[in-house]
Amino acid sequence: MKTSSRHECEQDFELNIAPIIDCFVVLIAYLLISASFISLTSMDVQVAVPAIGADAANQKENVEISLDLDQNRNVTVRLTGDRTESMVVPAREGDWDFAALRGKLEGLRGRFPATDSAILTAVQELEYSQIVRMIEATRGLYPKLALGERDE
Amino acid sequence: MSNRKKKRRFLRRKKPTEEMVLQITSMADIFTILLVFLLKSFSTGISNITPSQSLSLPIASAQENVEEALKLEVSDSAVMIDDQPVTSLKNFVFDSNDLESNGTPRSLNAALVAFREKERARNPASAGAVAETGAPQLLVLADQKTPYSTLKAVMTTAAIHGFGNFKLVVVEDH
Repeated sequence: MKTSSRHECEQDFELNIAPIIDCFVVLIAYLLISASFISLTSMDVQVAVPAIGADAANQKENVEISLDLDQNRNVTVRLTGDRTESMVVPAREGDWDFAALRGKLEGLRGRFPATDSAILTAVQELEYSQIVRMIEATRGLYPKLALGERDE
Repeated sequence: MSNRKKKRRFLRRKKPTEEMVLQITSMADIFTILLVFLLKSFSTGISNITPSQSLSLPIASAQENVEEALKLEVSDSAVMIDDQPVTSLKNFVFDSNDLESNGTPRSLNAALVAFREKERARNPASAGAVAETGAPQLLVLADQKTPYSTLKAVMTTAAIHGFGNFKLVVVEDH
């Protein structure tokens, strides 16, 4: 009697993992379907309203910097306020010349360190993707970037 | 050898006496690892920001996380607030009958007024909170082909109604 019970205990027993596998397959399929394979990020911008002008009024030297984008990928950098200047960064090989633009903006940032905001204006037809590229290029230098209306 | 002989030999062959068992333990291990990986990536990247199928967002290397806020989508056919179409567009252009004298779309104005009133009714303390925390956030999901004029009109309309912290949602460039 004793021998037979020991014999029963010694028998191999296998866990039936087939239903677990079934559950895993369903779960993996669900997670793969609902997963998003693109990651979204965001960029801060403002809309040019008089409040930004008021901010600038508190600065030592009241200088407003605006970047005007045209259809031919030329950028006109304008200074208004206490100083009035205008410089054009022409397109390079049919695209924005970001290197030259950054050089110009770094120079302006050095001259007017208190001015950390800029206004971005563009021709009506310019695509949003180009606006995003420009924001990306200038963001490090002018964190407070506002979209403004172009003087036609 | 004739076919009949072959068949007879095949039928005469002894069937295996032992039961065949498929070894699925290793498969279970693989599935467990896969499941853990998927669950982890699902929990870290979770967000309710799902752009519409027709929307093609621009690509940029921004590093900021997308926080929950009112979602405003601009596609070629409509402007949507929280997935509800509020203003119709024709190839990214507003209907001229829908424009106010300041160039902002009338229907979008009405939708944003309704939204702000609803928010105020739901949370009366929000008016005071705005003064403390700044203007409410607005997530802008615009198609990459949206012309500047349309984008500017939409954002100006939102700014008129008290939104000041605009977050342009883009696809992260790796």
